[in-house]
Amino acid sequence: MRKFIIAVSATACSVAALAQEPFQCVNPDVLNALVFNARVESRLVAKRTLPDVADGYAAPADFTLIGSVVRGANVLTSVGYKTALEARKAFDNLLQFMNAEGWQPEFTPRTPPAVTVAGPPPLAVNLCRNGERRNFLIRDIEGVRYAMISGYETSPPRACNVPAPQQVTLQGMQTNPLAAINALHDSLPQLSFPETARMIAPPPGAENLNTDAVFSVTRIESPDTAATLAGLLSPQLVAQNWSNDAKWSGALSTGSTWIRKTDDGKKYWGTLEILSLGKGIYNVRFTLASWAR
Amino acid sequence: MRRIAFFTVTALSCAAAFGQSLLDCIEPDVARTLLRQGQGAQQPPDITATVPAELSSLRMPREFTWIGSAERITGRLDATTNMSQVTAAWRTSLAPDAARAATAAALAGSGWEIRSQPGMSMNVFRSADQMPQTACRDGKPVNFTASPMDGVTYVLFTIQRNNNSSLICSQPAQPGFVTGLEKYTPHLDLPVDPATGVAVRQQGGGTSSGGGQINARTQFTLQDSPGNVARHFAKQMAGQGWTSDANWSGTLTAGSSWSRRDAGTVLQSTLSVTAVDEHQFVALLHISTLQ
Repeated sequence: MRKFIIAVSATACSVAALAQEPFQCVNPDVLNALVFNARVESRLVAKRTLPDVADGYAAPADFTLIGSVVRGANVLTSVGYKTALEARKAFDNLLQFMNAEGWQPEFTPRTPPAVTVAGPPPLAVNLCRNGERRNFLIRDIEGVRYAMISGYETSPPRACNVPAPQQVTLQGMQTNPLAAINALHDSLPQLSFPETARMIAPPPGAENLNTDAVFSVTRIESPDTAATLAGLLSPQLVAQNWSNDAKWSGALSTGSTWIRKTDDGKKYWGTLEILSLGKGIYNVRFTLASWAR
Repeated sequence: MRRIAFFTVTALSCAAAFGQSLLDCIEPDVARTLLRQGQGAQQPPDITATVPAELSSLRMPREFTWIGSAERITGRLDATTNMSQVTAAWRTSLAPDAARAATAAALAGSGWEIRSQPGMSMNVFRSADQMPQTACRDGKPVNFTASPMDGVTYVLFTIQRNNNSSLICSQPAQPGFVTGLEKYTPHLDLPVDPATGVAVRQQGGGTSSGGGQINARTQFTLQDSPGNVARHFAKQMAGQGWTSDANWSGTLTAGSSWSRRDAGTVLQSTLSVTAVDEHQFVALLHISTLQ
Protein backbone atom coordinates (compact mmCIF):
# COMPACT_ATOMS: atom_id res chain seq x y z
CA MET A 1 0.00 0.00 0.00
CA ARG A 2 2.83 2.39 0.94
CA LYS A 3 4.53 1.70 -2.38
CA PHE A 4 1.28 2.44 -4.12
CA ILE A 5 0.87 5.75 -2.29
CA ILE A 6 4.45 6.77 -3.07
CA ALA A 7 4.03 5.81 -6.70
CA VAL A 8 0.78 7.73 -7.01
CA SER A 9 2.13 10.79 -5.23
CA ALA A 10 5.36 10.80 -7.24
CA THR A 11 3.28 10.61 -10.42
CA ALA A 12 1.06 13.41 -9.14
CA CYS A 13 4.14 15.51 -8.45
CA SER A 14 5.53 14.87 -11.92
CA VAL A 15 2.20 15.56 -13.60
CA ALA A 16 1.85 18.76 -11.59
CA ALA A 17 5.33 19.82 -12.69
CA LEU A 18 4.61 19.08 -16.34
CA ALA A 19 1.26 20.86 -16.25
CA GLN A 20 2.88 24.17 -15.39
CA GLU A 21 5.00 26.34 -17.64
CA PRO A 22 8.70 25.45 -17.77
CA PHE A 23 10.03 28.06 -15.31
CA GLN A 24 6.90 28.35 -13.19
CA CYS A 25 8.29 26.34 -10.30
CA VAL A 26 11.08 28.87 -9.73
CA ASN A 27 10.67 31.83 -7.41
CA PRO A 28 10.15 34.82 -9.76
CA ASP A 29 12.69 36.86 -7.79
CA VAL A 30 15.32 34.20 -8.42
CA LEU A 31 14.63 34.35 -12.14
CA ASN A 32 14.48 38.15 -12.32
CA ALA A 33 17.53 38.84 -10.19
CA LEU A 34 19.86 35.90 -10.68
CA VAL A 35 19.01 34.58 -14.15
CA PHE A 36 17.90 37.76 -15.94
CA ASN A 37 20.17 40.10 -13.88
CA ALA A 38 17.24 42.47 -13.27
CA ARG A 39 17.18 43.40 -16.96
CA VAL A 40 13.79 43.40 -18.61
CA GLU A 41 15.31 42.81 -22.03
CA SER A 42 16.92 39.60 -20.75
CA ARG A 43 13.69 38.11 -19.50
CA LEU A 44 12.71 34.77 -21.01
CA VAL A 45 9.09 33.81 -21.31
CA ALA A 46 8.86 30.04 -21.68
CA LYS A 47 6.05 27.72 -22.62
CA ARG A 48 5.71 24.06 -23.50
CA THR A 49 4.35 24.65 -26.99
CA LEU A 50 5.71 26.14 -30.18
CA PRO A 51 5.85 29.97 -30.33
CA ASP A 52 2.75 31.82 -31.52
CA VAL A 53 4.43 32.34 -34.87
CA ALA A 54 5.62 28.78 -35.41
CA ASP A 55 6.82 29.06 -39.01
CA GLY A 56 10.41 27.88 -39.25
CA TYR A 57 10.53 26.32 -35.80
CA ALA A 58 9.15 22.85 -36.59
CA ALA A 59 11.33 19.74 -36.60
CA PRO A 60 11.01 16.22 -38.01
CA ALA A 61 9.12 13.50 -36.17
CA ASP A 62 12.21 12.06 -34.51
CA PHE A 63 12.60 15.27 -32.50
CA THR A 64 10.50 15.70 -29.34
CA LEU A 65 9.41 19.24 -28.47
CA ILE A 66 10.59 20.50 -25.07
CA GLY A 67 9.20 24.04 -25.31
CA SER A 68 9.92 27.53 -26.54
CA VAL A 69 11.20 30.78 -25.09
CA VAL A 70 10.90 34.37 -26.19
CA ARG A 71 13.47 36.84 -24.94
CA GLY A 72 12.60 40.49 -24.33
CA ALA A 73 10.10 42.06 -26.72
CA ASN A 74 10.34 39.28 -29.30
CA VAL A 75 14.04 39.98 -29.72
CA LEU A 76 14.86 36.29 -29.86
CA THR A 77 12.67 33.21 -30.14
CA SER A 78 14.05 29.74 -29.46
CA VAL A 79 12.52 26.29 -29.56
CA GLY A 80 14.08 23.30 -27.83
CA TYR A 81 13.86 19.65 -28.88
CA LYS A 82 15.48 16.42 -27.75
CA THR A 83 16.21 13.46 -29.91
CA ALA A 84 17.55 9.95 -29.64
CA LEU A 85 19.46 10.37 -32.91
CA GLU A 86 23.24 10.55 -32.88
CA ALA A 87 24.43 14.21 -33.10
CA ARG A 88 25.59 14.24 -36.73
CA LYS A 89 22.51 12.33 -37.84
CA ALA A 90 20.29 14.74 -35.91
CA PHE A 91 22.03 17.71 -37.55
CA ASP A 92 21.66 16.24 -41.05
CA ASN A 93 18.00 15.32 -40.54
CA LEU A 94 17.05 18.73 -39.21
CA LEU A 95 18.99 20.55 -41.92
CA GLN A 96 17.34 18.42 -44.60
CA PHE A 97 13.93 19.10 -43.09
CA MET A 98 14.49 22.86 -43.03
CA ASN A 99 16.00 22.87 -46.52
CA ALA A 100 12.79 21.26 -47.73
CA GLU A 101 10.91 24.18 -46.17
CA GLY A 102 13.02 26.64 -48.13
CA TRP A 103 15.62 27.57 -45.49
CA GLN A 104 19.10 27.83 -46.98
CA PRO A 105 22.46 28.13 -45.23
CA GLU A 106 23.83 31.64 -44.90
CA PHE A 107 27.39 32.48 -43.98
CA THR A 108 27.73 34.91 -41.10
CA PRO A 109 31.11 35.84 -39.65
CA ARG A 110 31.23 34.82 -36.02
CA THR A 111 33.28 36.13 -33.17
CA PRO A 112 34.80 33.49 -30.94
CA PRO A 113 32.94 33.01 -27.65
CA ALA A 114 34.40 34.71 -24.61
CA VAL A 115 34.09 31.55 -22.58
CA THR A 116 34.82 28.11 -23.88
CA VAL A 117 33.01 25.14 -22.47
CA ALA A 118 34.58 21.72 -22.25
CA GLY A 119 33.26 19.17 -24.69
CA PRO A 120 32.84 18.97 -28.43
CA PRO A 121 31.65 22.12 -30.20
CA PRO A 122 27.96 22.13 -31.13
CA LEU A 123 26.86 21.40 -34.69
CA ALA A 124 25.33 24.67 -35.81
CA VAL A 125 24.18 26.43 -38.97
CA ASN A 126 22.64 29.79 -39.89
CA LEU A 127 19.70 29.63 -42.28
CA CYS A 128 17.80 32.24 -44.22
CA ARG A 129 14.57 32.36 -46.21
CA ASN A 130 13.13 35.52 -47.78
CA GLY A 131 15.11 37.71 -45.40
CA GLU A 132 14.00 35.77 -42.32
CA ARG A 133 16.64 34.04 -40.30
CA ARG A 134 16.85 30.92 -38.21
CA ASN A 135 19.81 29.15 -36.76
CA PHE A 136 19.94 25.81 -35.11
CA LEU A 137 22.46 23.85 -33.17
CA ILE A 138 22.71 20.30 -31.96
CA ARG A 139 24.32 19.91 -28.56
CA ASP A 140 25.13 16.79 -26.62
CA ILE A 141 24.70 17.36 -22.90
CA GLU A 142 25.23 14.50 -20.49
CA GLY A 143 24.56 11.97 -23.21
CA VAL A 144 21.34 13.56 -24.46
CA ARG A 145 21.10 15.26 -27.87
CA TYR A 146 19.27 18.56 -27.92
CA ALA A 147 18.34 20.78 -30.85
CA MET A 148 17.71 24.50 -30.46
CA ILE A 149 16.15 26.44 -33.32
CA SER A 150 16.37 30.20 -32.85
CA GLY A 151 14.99 33.10 -34.82
CA TYR A 152 15.70 36.78 -34.63
CA GLU A 153 14.77 39.84 -36.63
CA THR A 154 17.47 41.85 -38.32
CA SER A 155 17.07 45.57 -38.01
CA PRO A 156 16.84 47.00 -40.57
CA PRO A 157 15.44 44.04 -42.59
CA ARG A 158 18.12 42.50 -44.77
CA ALA A 159 17.85 40.08 -47.68
CA CYS A 160 19.47 36.67 -47.44
CA ASN A 161 23.22 36.57 -48.05
CA VAL A 162 23.53 40.34 -47.72
CA PRO A 163 26.23 41.04 -45.15
CA ALA A 164 25.17 42.86 -42.03
CA PRO A 165 26.16 46.51 -42.17
CA GLN A 166 29.30 47.33 -40.29
CA GLN A 167 28.44 48.07 -36.71
CA VAL A 168 28.13 51.82 -36.86
CA THR A 169 28.37 53.80 -33.71
CA LEU A 170 26.76 57.18 -33.57
CA GLN A 171 30.22 58.63 -33.39
CA GLY A 172 31.12 57.20 -36.76
CA MET A 173 34.05 55.57 -35.00
CA GLN A 174 34.62 52.99 -37.67
CA THR A 175 36.89 55.60 -39.22
CA ASN A 176 39.78 57.49 -37.72
CA PRO A 177 38.21 59.62 -34.94
CA LEU A 178 40.59 62.48 -35.64
CA ALA A 179 39.60 62.39 -39.30
CA ALA A 180 35.93 62.38 -38.25
CA ILE A 181 36.48 65.48 -36.09
CA ASN A 182 38.39 67.23 -38.84
CA ALA A 183 35.60 66.44 -41.27
CA LEU A 184 33.11 67.97 -38.86
CA HIS A 185 35.18 71.12 -38.51
CA ASP A 186 35.30 71.40 -42.28
CA SER A 187 31.51 71.03 -42.43
CA LEU A 188 30.72 73.94 -40.12
CA PRO A 189 28.72 76.57 -42.01
CA GLN A 190 30.26 79.96 -42.73
CA LEU A 191 28.13 82.71 -41.21
CA SER A 192 28.57 86.45 -41.66
CA PHE A 193 27.21 89.07 -39.29
CA PRO A 194 25.89 92.43 -40.47
CA GLU A 195 28.35 95.32 -40.62
CA THR A 196 26.73 96.90 -37.59
CA ALA A 197 27.86 93.95 -35.46
CA ARG A 198 31.22 94.02 -33.71
CA MET A 199 33.09 90.93 -32.63
CA ILE A 200 33.97 91.38 -28.94
CA ALA A 201 36.29 88.43 -28.67
CA PRO A 202 37.95 86.66 -31.55
CA PRO A 203 36.19 83.42 -32.34
CA PRO A 204 37.92 80.66 -30.39
CA GLY A 205 37.48 78.22 -33.24
CA ALA A 206 35.36 75.14 -33.05
CA GLU A 207 35.51 73.02 -29.93
CA ASN A 208 34.83 69.31 -29.81
CA LEU A 209 31.87 67.97 -27.90
CA ASN A 210 32.83 64.41 -28.84
CA THR A 211 34.06 62.78 -31.99
CA ASP A 212 30.61 63.25 -33.53
CA ALA A 213 29.80 66.82 -32.54
CA VAL A 214 31.59 70.16 -32.49
CA PHE A 215 30.48 73.66 -31.68
CA SER A 216 31.65 77.19 -32.34
CA VAL A 217 30.85 80.20 -30.14
CA THR A 218 31.33 83.82 -31.10
CA ARG A 219 30.58 86.79 -28.84
CA ILE A 220 29.35 89.88 -30.61
CA GLU A 221 27.90 93.28 -29.82
CA SER A 222 25.07 94.39 -32.08
CA PRO A 223 22.30 96.98 -32.12
CA ASP A 224 20.00 94.35 -33.57
CA THR A 225 17.70 92.12 -31.59
CA ALA A 226 18.38 88.39 -31.35
CA ALA A 227 15.40 87.74 -33.58
CA THR A 228 16.80 90.10 -36.23
CA LEU A 229 20.21 88.43 -36.06
CA ALA A 230 18.56 85.02 -36.37
CA GLY A 231 16.63 86.30 -39.37
CA LEU A 232 19.89 87.38 -40.99
CA LEU A 233 21.72 84.14 -40.36
CA SER A 234 18.97 81.74 -41.40
CA PRO A 235 19.09 82.57 -45.14
CA GLN A 236 22.85 81.97 -45.07
CA LEU A 237 22.25 78.46 -43.75
CA VAL A 238 19.62 77.83 -46.38
CA ALA A 239 22.09 79.01 -49.03
CA GLN A 240 24.55 76.40 -47.69
CA ASN A 241 22.01 73.60 -48.21
CA TRP A 242 20.69 73.48 -44.67
CA SER A 243 16.96 72.83 -44.12
CA ASN A 244 15.21 74.35 -41.16
CA ASP A 245 13.42 71.96 -38.80
CA ALA A 246 12.34 74.18 -35.88
CA LYS A 247 12.90 77.61 -34.41
CA TRP A 248 12.29 79.41 -31.13
CA SER A 249 12.53 82.81 -29.53
CA GLY A 250 12.75 83.38 -25.80
CA ALA A 251 13.91 86.23 -23.58
CA LEU A 252 17.34 84.66 -23.25
CA SER A 253 17.65 82.24 -26.13
CA THR A 254 16.72 82.53 -29.79
CA GLY A 255 17.55 79.81 -32.22
CA SER A 256 16.78 77.24 -34.81
CA THR A 257 17.59 73.64 -35.67
CA TRP A 258 18.83 72.51 -39.08
CA ILE A 259 19.46 69.38 -41.12
CA ARG A 260 21.76 68.99 -44.11
CA LYS A 261 22.06 65.92 -46.33
CA THR A 262 25.10 65.55 -48.51
CA ASP A 263 25.19 63.96 -51.94
CA ASP A 264 26.83 60.86 -50.51
CA GLY A 265 23.95 60.38 -48.09
CA LYS A 266 25.59 61.76 -44.99
CA LYS A 267 23.35 63.71 -42.65
CA TYR A 268 24.38 66.64 -40.45
CA TRP A 269 22.43 68.24 -37.63
CA GLY A 270 22.89 71.86 -36.71
CA THR A 271 21.64 74.03 -33.87
CA LEU A 272 22.02 77.78 -34.09
CA GLU A 273 21.49 79.54 -30.79
CA ILE A 274 21.82 83.22 -29.97
CA LEU A 275 22.03 83.96 -26.26
CA SER A 276 21.16 87.50 -25.19
CA LEU A 277 23.59 88.58 -22.47
CA GLY A 278 22.19 92.12 -22.21
CA LYS A 279 23.36 95.53 -23.44
CA GLY A 280 23.41 94.30 -27.03
CA ILE A 281 25.87 91.52 -26.34
CA TYR A 282 25.23 88.07 -27.74
CA ASN A 283 26.83 84.66 -27.72
CA VAL A 284 26.21 83.04 -31.09
CA ARG A 285 26.73 79.31 -30.93
CA PHE A 286 26.46 76.77 -33.71
CA THR A 287 26.54 73.07 -32.80
CA LEU A 288 27.20 70.61 -35.60
CA ALA A 289 26.75 66.87 -35.25
CA SER A 290 26.92 63.88 -37.53
CA TRP A 291 24.84 61.22 -35.86
CA ALA A 292 23.10 59.71 -38.83
CA ARG A 293 23.97 56.13 -39.78
CA MET B 1 -4.48 9.08 7.99
CA ARG B 2 -4.09 7.98 4.42
CA ARG B 3 -4.66 11.56 3.26
CA ILE B 4 -2.00 12.83 5.63
CA ALA B 5 0.39 10.17 4.39
CA PHE B 6 -0.40 11.04 0.77
CA PHE B 7 0.14 14.77 1.21
CA THR B 8 3.25 14.26 3.29
CA VAL B 9 4.81 11.95 0.73
CA THR B 10 3.81 14.30 -2.11
CA ALA B 11 5.28 17.28 -0.32
CA LEU B 12 8.50 15.43 0.41
CA SER B 13 8.74 14.16 -3.15
CA CYS B 14 8.26 17.63 -4.57
CA ALA B 15 10.58 19.25 -2.00
CA ALA B 16 13.24 16.71 -2.79
CA ALA B 17 13.00 17.81 -6.38
CA PHE B 18 14.04 21.29 -5.29
CA GLY B 19 17.31 20.11 -3.74
CA GLN B 20 19.87 22.78 -2.85
CA SER B 21 19.96 24.77 -6.07
CA LEU B 22 17.16 27.25 -6.50
CA LEU B 23 16.73 26.05 -10.09
CA ASP B 24 16.62 22.35 -9.32
CA CYS B 25 12.86 22.20 -9.81
CA ILE B 26 13.33 22.93 -13.51
CA GLU B 27 13.33 19.76 -15.57
CA PRO B 28 16.82 18.92 -16.88
CA ASP B 29 15.73 19.11 -20.53
CA VAL B 30 14.31 22.59 -19.99
CA ALA B 31 17.37 23.73 -18.04
CA ARG B 32 19.73 22.47 -20.75
CA THR B 33 17.85 24.12 -23.60
CA LEU B 34 15.35 26.89 -22.85
CA LEU B 35 17.05 28.24 -19.74
CA ARG B 36 20.41 28.29 -21.49
CA GLN B 37 19.07 30.93 -23.83
CA GLY B 38 19.47 33.34 -20.95
CA GLN B 39 23.09 32.34 -20.42
CA GLY B 40 24.51 32.44 -23.92
CA ALA B 41 26.98 29.67 -24.52
CA GLN B 42 28.12 29.72 -20.93
CA GLN B 43 27.51 27.00 -18.45
CA PRO B 44 24.36 27.60 -16.41
CA PRO B 45 25.06 29.46 -13.19
CA ASP B 46 25.11 27.70 -9.86
CA ILE B 47 22.23 29.38 -8.04
CA THR B 48 21.79 28.77 -4.33
CA ALA B 49 20.35 30.41 -1.22
CA THR B 50 23.84 30.83 0.22
CA VAL B 51 25.13 34.30 1.10
CA PRO B 52 28.62 34.66 -0.44
CA ALA B 53 31.40 34.60 2.15
CA GLU B 54 32.56 38.00 0.90
CA LEU B 55 29.27 39.52 2.08
CA SER B 56 28.73 37.47 5.22
CA SER B 57 29.35 40.46 7.48
CA LEU B 58 27.04 42.77 5.53
CA ARG B 59 23.91 43.74 7.43
CA MET B 60 21.24 44.88 4.99
CA PRO B 61 18.33 46.99 6.32
CA ARG B 62 15.09 45.22 7.12
CA GLU B 63 13.43 46.65 3.99
CA PHE B 64 15.58 44.24 1.96
CA THR B 65 14.75 40.56 1.48
CA TRP B 66 17.45 38.07 0.63
CA ILE B 67 16.90 36.16 -2.65
CA GLY B 68 20.01 34.10 -3.32
CA SER B 69 23.32 34.06 -5.13
CA ALA B 70 24.58 32.84 -8.49
CA GLU B 71 28.12 31.88 -9.45
CA ARG B 72 29.12 31.93 -13.10
CA ILE B 73 32.42 30.61 -14.38
CA THR B 74 34.12 33.36 -16.39
CA GLY B 75 37.45 31.75 -17.23
CA ARG B 76 40.41 29.88 -15.84
CA LEU B 77 43.13 31.23 -13.62
CA ASP B 78 45.28 28.13 -14.03
CA ALA B 79 44.87 24.45 -14.71
CA THR B 80 42.97 23.83 -11.49
CA THR B 81 41.35 27.14 -10.60
CA ASN B 82 38.37 28.79 -12.24
CA MET B 83 37.73 32.50 -12.26
CA SER B 84 34.12 33.28 -11.52
CA GLN B 85 31.65 36.06 -10.92
CA VAL B 86 29.28 35.81 -8.01
CA THR B 87 26.02 37.72 -8.00
CA ALA B 88 24.14 38.18 -4.73
CA ALA B 89 20.60 39.52 -4.83
CA TRP B 90 18.20 41.26 -2.48
CA ARG B 91 14.79 42.68 -3.28
CA THR B 92 13.11 45.72 -1.80
CA SER B 93 10.06 47.87 -2.32
CA LEU B 94 12.24 51.00 -2.07
CA ALA B 95 12.71 53.03 -5.25
CA PRO B 96 16.06 52.43 -7.00
CA ASP B 97 17.65 55.67 -5.76
CA ALA B 98 16.59 55.00 -2.18
CA ALA B 99 17.67 51.37 -2.45
CA ARG B 100 21.06 52.43 -3.77
CA ALA B 101 21.51 54.91 -0.94
CA ALA B 102 20.39 52.39 1.69
CA THR B 103 22.75 49.78 0.27
CA ALA B 104 25.65 52.21 0.32
CA ALA B 105 24.84 53.08 3.94
CA ALA B 106 24.65 49.40 4.87
CA LEU B 107 28.02 48.74 3.25
CA ALA B 108 29.58 51.74 4.99
CA GLY B 109 28.11 50.60 8.29
CA SER B 110 29.62 47.17 7.79
CA GLY B 111 33.14 48.42 7.13
CA TRP B 112 33.18 49.03 3.38
CA GLU B 113 34.38 52.27 1.83
CA ILE B 114 32.18 53.51 -0.99
CA ARG B 115 34.22 54.56 -3.98
CA SER B 116 32.49 57.11 -6.14
CA GLN B 117 33.02 56.52 -9.82
CA PRO B 118 34.81 59.54 -11.24
CA GLY B 119 32.19 61.88 -12.62
CA MET B 120 29.26 59.70 -11.61
CA SER B 121 27.63 62.41 -9.49
CA MET B 122 27.88 64.70 -12.50
CA ASN B 123 25.98 62.43 -14.84
CA VAL B 124 23.05 64.42 -16.19
CA PHE B 125 21.16 61.72 -18.04
CA ARG B 126 20.27 58.67 -16.02
CA SER B 127 18.56 55.44 -16.93
CA ALA B 128 17.45 52.34 -15.08
CA ASP B 129 20.74 50.88 -16.21
CA GLN B 130 22.89 52.76 -13.76
CA MET B 131 26.62 52.42 -13.59
CA PRO B 132 27.50 50.06 -10.75
CA GLN B 133 28.89 51.58 -7.63
CA THR B 134 31.98 50.12 -6.02
CA ALA B 135 32.71 49.49 -2.36
CA CYS B 136 36.08 48.36 -1.00
CA ARG B 137 37.06 46.43 2.07
CA ASP B 138 40.41 44.82 2.77
CA GLY B 139 41.51 45.92 -0.68
CA LYS B 140 38.79 43.92 -2.42
CA PRO B 141 35.96 45.44 -4.46
CA VAL B 142 32.29 44.63 -4.60
CA ASN B 143 30.05 46.33 -7.14
CA PHE B 144 26.37 46.94 -6.63
CA THR B 145 23.41 48.15 -8.66
CA ALA B 146 19.74 48.80 -7.91
CA SER B 147 17.42 48.12 -10.82
CA PRO B 148 13.64 48.20 -11.08
CA MET B 149 11.79 45.25 -12.56
CA ASP B 150 8.19 44.12 -12.18
CA GLY B 151 7.41 46.80 -9.61
CA VAL B 152 10.21 45.93 -7.19
CA THR B 153 13.85 46.96 -6.96
CA TYR B 154 16.58 44.35 -7.13
CA VAL B 155 19.91 45.14 -5.53
CA LEU B 156 22.59 43.02 -7.12
CA PHE B 157 26.13 42.70 -5.78
CA THR B 158 28.82 41.33 -8.05
CA ILE B 159 32.07 39.90 -6.78
CA GLN B 160 34.96 38.62 -8.87
CA ARG B 161 36.62 35.49 -7.51
CA ASN B 162 40.19 34.56 -8.39
CA ASN B 163 40.40 37.59 -10.63
CA ASN B 164 42.57 40.38 -9.30
CA SER B 165 42.53 42.55 -12.40
CA SER B 166 40.59 45.36 -10.70
CA LEU B 167 42.89 47.85 -9.01
CA ILE B 168 40.22 50.27 -7.91
CA CYS B 169 40.55 49.37 -4.23
CA SER B 170 44.32 49.58 -4.18
CA GLN B 171 44.39 53.10 -5.54
CA PRO B 172 43.54 56.31 -3.67
CA ALA B 173 39.99 57.56 -4.14
CA GLN B 174 39.63 59.87 -7.12
CA PRO B 175 38.41 63.36 -6.36
CA GLY B 176 35.14 64.21 -8.05
CA PHE B 177 34.57 67.07 -10.45
CA VAL B 178 35.05 70.50 -9.00
CA THR B 179 33.57 73.01 -11.39
CA GLY B 180 31.31 74.97 -9.09
CA LEU B 181 28.36 73.84 -11.19
CA GLU B 182 27.76 70.55 -9.39
CA LYS B 183 24.90 71.83 -7.27
CA TYR B 184 23.07 73.14 -10.32
CA THR B 185 23.56 70.08 -12.49
CA PRO B 186 20.18 68.54 -13.25
CA HIS B 187 19.65 64.80 -13.19
CA LEU B 188 17.32 63.72 -15.96
CA ASP B 189 15.78 60.25 -15.97
CA LEU B 190 15.31 58.76 -19.41
CA PRO B 191 11.70 58.28 -20.51
CA VAL B 192 9.58 55.16 -20.33
CA ASP B 193 8.99 53.53 -23.70
CA PRO B 194 5.20 53.55 -24.20
CA ALA B 195 5.55 50.44 -26.36
CA THR B 196 7.07 48.38 -23.54
CA GLY B 197 6.23 50.30 -20.37
CA VAL B 198 9.88 50.07 -19.38
CA ALA B 199 12.36 52.91 -18.88
CA VAL B 200 14.75 53.06 -21.83
CA ARG B 201 18.41 52.33 -21.32
CA GLN B 202 21.29 54.55 -22.33
CA GLN B 203 23.18 53.32 -25.36
CA GLY B 204 26.03 55.72 -24.86
CA GLY B 205 26.78 59.20 -23.72
CA GLY B 206 28.33 60.95 -20.81
CA THR B 207 28.96 64.28 -19.14
CA SER B 208 31.97 66.53 -19.42
CA SER B 209 32.74 69.87 -17.86
CA GLY B 210 35.27 72.64 -17.87
CA GLY B 211 35.60 76.35 -18.51
CA GLY B 212 32.31 77.15 -16.81
CA GLN B 213 30.41 74.74 -19.01
CA ILE B 214 28.82 71.34 -18.76
CA ASN B 215 28.02 69.24 -21.81
CA ALA B 216 26.01 66.06 -21.45
CA ARG B 217 24.83 63.63 -24.05
CA THR B 218 22.80 60.47 -24.14
CA GLN B 219 21.48 58.22 -26.86
CA PHE B 220 18.70 55.68 -26.64
CA THR B 221 16.06 53.82 -28.60
CA LEU B 222 12.42 54.77 -28.07
CA GLN B 223 9.16 54.64 -29.99
CA ASP B 224 8.05 58.21 -29.41
CA SER B 225 8.26 61.67 -30.91
CA PRO B 226 11.06 64.21 -30.29
CA GLY B 227 8.46 66.58 -28.86
CA ASN B 228 7.31 64.08 -26.26
CA VAL B 229 10.87 63.24 -25.29
CA ALA B 230 11.75 66.93 -24.95
CA ARG B 231 8.67 67.51 -22.79
CA HIS B 232 9.63 64.56 -20.60
CA PHE B 233 13.00 66.17 -19.87
CA ALA B 234 11.52 69.67 -19.60
CA LYS B 235 9.26 68.62 -16.72
CA GLN B 236 12.31 67.42 -14.83
CA MET B 237 14.27 70.60 -15.53
CA ALA B 238 11.37 72.65 -14.17
CA GLY B 239 11.16 70.38 -11.14
CA GLN B 240 14.84 70.96 -10.38
CA GLY B 241 14.74 74.72 -10.15
CA TRP B 242 15.29 75.75 -13.76
CA THR B 243 13.13 78.44 -15.35
CA SER B 244 11.83 77.91 -18.86
CA ASP B 245 12.85 80.48 -21.46
CA ALA B 246 11.68 78.93 -24.72
CA ASN B 247 10.86 75.61 -26.29
CA TRP B 248 10.55 74.25 -29.82
CA SER B 249 9.38 71.19 -31.64
CA GLY B 250 10.04 70.30 -35.26
CA THR B 251 9.82 67.12 -37.29
CA LEU B 252 13.07 65.62 -36.09
CA THR B 253 14.23 68.02 -33.41
CA ALA B 254 12.73 69.45 -30.24
CA GLY B 255 14.11 71.15 -27.20
CA SER B 256 13.98 73.90 -24.66
CA SER B 257 16.05 76.72 -23.25
CA TRP B 258 16.40 77.36 -19.52
CA SER B 259 17.91 79.78 -17.05
CA ARG B 260 18.75 79.71 -13.40
CA ARG B 261 19.88 82.47 -11.04
CA ASP B 262 21.49 81.89 -7.68
CA ALA B 263 23.55 84.34 -5.57
CA GLY B 264 24.85 86.33 -8.50
CA THR B 265 25.40 83.30 -10.69
CA VAL B 266 23.38 83.19 -13.89
CA LEU B 267 23.25 79.91 -15.73
CA GLN B 268 21.76 79.15 -19.09
CA SER B 269 20.95 75.70 -20.34
CA THR B 270 19.84 74.35 -23.69
CA LEU B 271 18.30 70.92 -23.98
CA SER B 272 18.00 69.50 -27.48
CA VAL B 273 16.48 66.21 -28.59
CA THR B 274 17.11 64.83 -32.08
CA ALA B 275 15.58 61.80 -33.74
CA VAL B 276 18.66 60.72 -35.68
CA ASP B 277 17.13 57.55 -37.04
CA GLU B 278 13.97 55.51 -36.68
CA HIS B 279 13.35 55.33 -32.93
CA GLN B 280 16.94 56.42 -32.29
CA PHE B 281 17.38 59.56 -30.21
CA VAL B 282 20.26 61.72 -29.12
CA ALA B 283 19.71 64.26 -26.35
CA LEU B 284 22.20 67.01 -25.52
CA LEU B 285 22.25 69.32 -22.54
CA HIS B 286 24.57 72.30 -22.55
CA ILE B 287 24.96 74.44 -19.43
CA SER B 288 27.07 77.58 -19.34
CA THR B 289 27.70 80.38 -16.90
CA LEU B 290 26.66 83.73 -18.33
CA GLN B 291 29.21 86.44 -17.60
